[in-house]
Amino acid sequence: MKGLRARLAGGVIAVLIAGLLLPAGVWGGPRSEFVAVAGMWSPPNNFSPINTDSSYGFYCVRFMFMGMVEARVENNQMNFFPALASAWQVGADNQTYTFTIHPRAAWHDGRPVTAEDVLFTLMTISDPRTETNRGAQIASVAGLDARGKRAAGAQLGFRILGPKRFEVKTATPVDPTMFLEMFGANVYILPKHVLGDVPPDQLGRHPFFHNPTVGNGPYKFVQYKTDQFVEFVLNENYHLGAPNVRRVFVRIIPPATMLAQIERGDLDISAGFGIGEVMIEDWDRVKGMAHVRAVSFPAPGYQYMLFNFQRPFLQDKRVRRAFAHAINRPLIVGQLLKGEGELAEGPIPPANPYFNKRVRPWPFDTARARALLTEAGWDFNRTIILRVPTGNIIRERSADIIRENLIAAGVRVEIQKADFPTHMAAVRAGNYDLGLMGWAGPTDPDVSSQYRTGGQYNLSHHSIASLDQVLDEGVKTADPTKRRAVYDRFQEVFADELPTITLYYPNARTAITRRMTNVLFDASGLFDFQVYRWVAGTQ
Amino acid sequence: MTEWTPSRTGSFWSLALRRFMRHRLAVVGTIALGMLATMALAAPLLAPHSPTAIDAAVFQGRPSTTHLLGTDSVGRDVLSRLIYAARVSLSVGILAVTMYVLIGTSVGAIAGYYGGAVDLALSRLIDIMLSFPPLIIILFAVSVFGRPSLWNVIIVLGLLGWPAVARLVRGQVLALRQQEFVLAARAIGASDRAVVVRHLLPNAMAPVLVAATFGTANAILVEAALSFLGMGVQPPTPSWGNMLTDAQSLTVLEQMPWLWVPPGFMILVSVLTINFVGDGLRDALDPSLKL
Repeated sequence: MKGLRARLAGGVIAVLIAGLLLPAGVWGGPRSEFVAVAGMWSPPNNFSPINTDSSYGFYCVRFMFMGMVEARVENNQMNFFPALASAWQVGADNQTYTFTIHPRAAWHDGRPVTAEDVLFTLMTISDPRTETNRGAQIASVAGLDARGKRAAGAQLGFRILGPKRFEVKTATPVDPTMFLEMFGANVYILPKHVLGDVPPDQLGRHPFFHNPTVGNGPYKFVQYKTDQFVEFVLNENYHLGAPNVRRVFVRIIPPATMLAQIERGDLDISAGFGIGEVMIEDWDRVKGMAHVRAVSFPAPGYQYMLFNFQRPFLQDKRVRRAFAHAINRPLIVGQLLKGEGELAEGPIPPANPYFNKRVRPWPFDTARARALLTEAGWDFNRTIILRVPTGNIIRERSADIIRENLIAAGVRVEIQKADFPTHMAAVRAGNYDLGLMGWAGPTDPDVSSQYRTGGQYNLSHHSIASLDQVLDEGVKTADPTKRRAVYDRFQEVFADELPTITLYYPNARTAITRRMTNVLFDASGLFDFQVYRWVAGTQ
Repeated sequence: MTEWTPSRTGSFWSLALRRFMRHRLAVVGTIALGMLATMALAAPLLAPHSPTAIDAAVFQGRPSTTHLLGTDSVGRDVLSRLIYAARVSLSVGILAVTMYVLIGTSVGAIAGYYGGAVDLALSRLIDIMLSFPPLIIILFAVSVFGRPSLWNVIIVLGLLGWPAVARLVRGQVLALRQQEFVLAARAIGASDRAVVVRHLLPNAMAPVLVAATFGTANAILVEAALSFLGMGVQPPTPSWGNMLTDAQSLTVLEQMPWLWVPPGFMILVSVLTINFVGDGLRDALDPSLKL
């Protein structure tokens, strides 16, 4: 009797313990080759391929959705690889682009991906009522304006050649590399048979973008546990071959605990540049871990300082150059980033094929800064506001250095911190003097949306004729060699005018446990490349 | 008879002082608090460096002869920041508490003295104020007030802290207003204001003083928490709370104790000493404790 009771009690305890351990087992301890766990800092707000509001959402979207091609910089040039398209041709006019969709490319519900879906996606993005961040990607297509929207009655440069073949025409000849990156690699295709009947102005609130059950990528959506994790399962019918890793979890992990999770093996991949990195203080420790591969490479993103051009006292370019001289950028890279970063005077990253090596950053020189300010008649009693968004700890710390540097040059500065949405609203409203901001863009050097007069992301509110002229020329030049020369000149004009000060290009740092192979990172993208090729070993 | 009656052993306050001096921890606390206050006042004389000056050579540097407590994540001297931060913590503690004691005492005295509908309305207001979760309200208020700053923290703490004091004063006044000396004062035609200010409040002050002392310790803690969350004192102004924000990585926690032990220790010491003083005051001023 006593034995039975003890055994019963033991059984109950065993069940309880098993119950406690089971959920933990998903992340902890040795994992099979079937599961991979990635970690990022913040939750995604939606999974809309045409309007993710952050890189967090985009990181998740590209497990489920694809564009026509994938792009990757190799040997200082951009190469393209099949994704939804199995073949593509560039017309001799640099204006006509023909794509053939892979014969087996299909939606997760089994329906084939067709040219109709591509047309639907383009019509949706270019509809003036649709909220989207993909407008700039399609702006070169004939019939669309600079924001990628079509005017009433405009004829879209798109022709269906067959169920799986279509042709896109640009308004003017463009550099094929630009077009293939913008339209080919960055426009993810939507399922017409699911969303075709939704009015464009209601698309933003459609439940599909929170529960995207029908995608065309290597992974299918399983669930999103709010603020905890997103779960994907492999698409066995993926046309480029079923992935090796059966299940992928993307967990939301605060920066401070990333290191511990990687150390314990609870995390296989830190999501990477700007969305999931171990803290810079912890980087040396990651490099010392036997079971982890610490990957660091130049990334296409940078941090910069905006000048509010609505302030008359910031319109003199001698003032802006004085600020560039005053800020000790080598110190920020050397000490704050512990050398994990680079300097450049402009928005084209040093790792980009279009980078102009002859343009050097203005050197740190407080005396020169003071002299330039005096020459420009700067009022040394004026106090200006430096607005700083919270969240990125390195950026917040850099603000303290910038302030000290500017004070040393005689400029009185006060720091105002705010959460990112508040900061962004203030900057957009022109309610600031100086502001810190980050940016990451595609490889193509066209930065009109940030630096052209009236551009969507022209947060400095500047209008500089010489910049506009060279930017317009860059978009219109189709010949790659000539285009390179135009952007070389653009970088010279930029360094002379300094619409913004480029503070630093931080390296992308990511940690990958050694059981994961075929996880490819490079300078062309924010994220890793061809996720369907990931291989997870046992630990 | 009232507590004011002179006796052989001296006045109420000299009796209290004697009781206080017998409380050893309270005496130690008072001395330590005095030292903290001196440190805050004499910060420019004591600090070896400017609290915002950046030493380009050493970021997160170990303690050395140039930087006795090392440097922080942007190369500033930790010791100097620690010393200057005492100003922030003490001014938040003292100013916020002064502010809410003034508000709380007025509201409590009015409620207790007039009673009736006035009391009912004010008491419900106190109940409502006390039912808000304080930190959430403070976070909300600081962000609504515009940008976070030292003054905003002080104002918000000052505007939100009064209900507890008000309730205390109301209770005291309610108990005292029926006593003979109050009736006597009224009988000779003293105005309401004179009765409250000259007769009631001095007799109600002892528990308020104790509450204010503990409140100061609490205000220092809340300021540290707010600054740690980035909603309090803004860098480069040092505060013990925002100095702790440096310690958010495992490597810092394990290998760079100079970044977080000193500010943590200072918060501990200041709060502990103020609480010791509060304990001493409570024991000394409690009329029910006879020696």
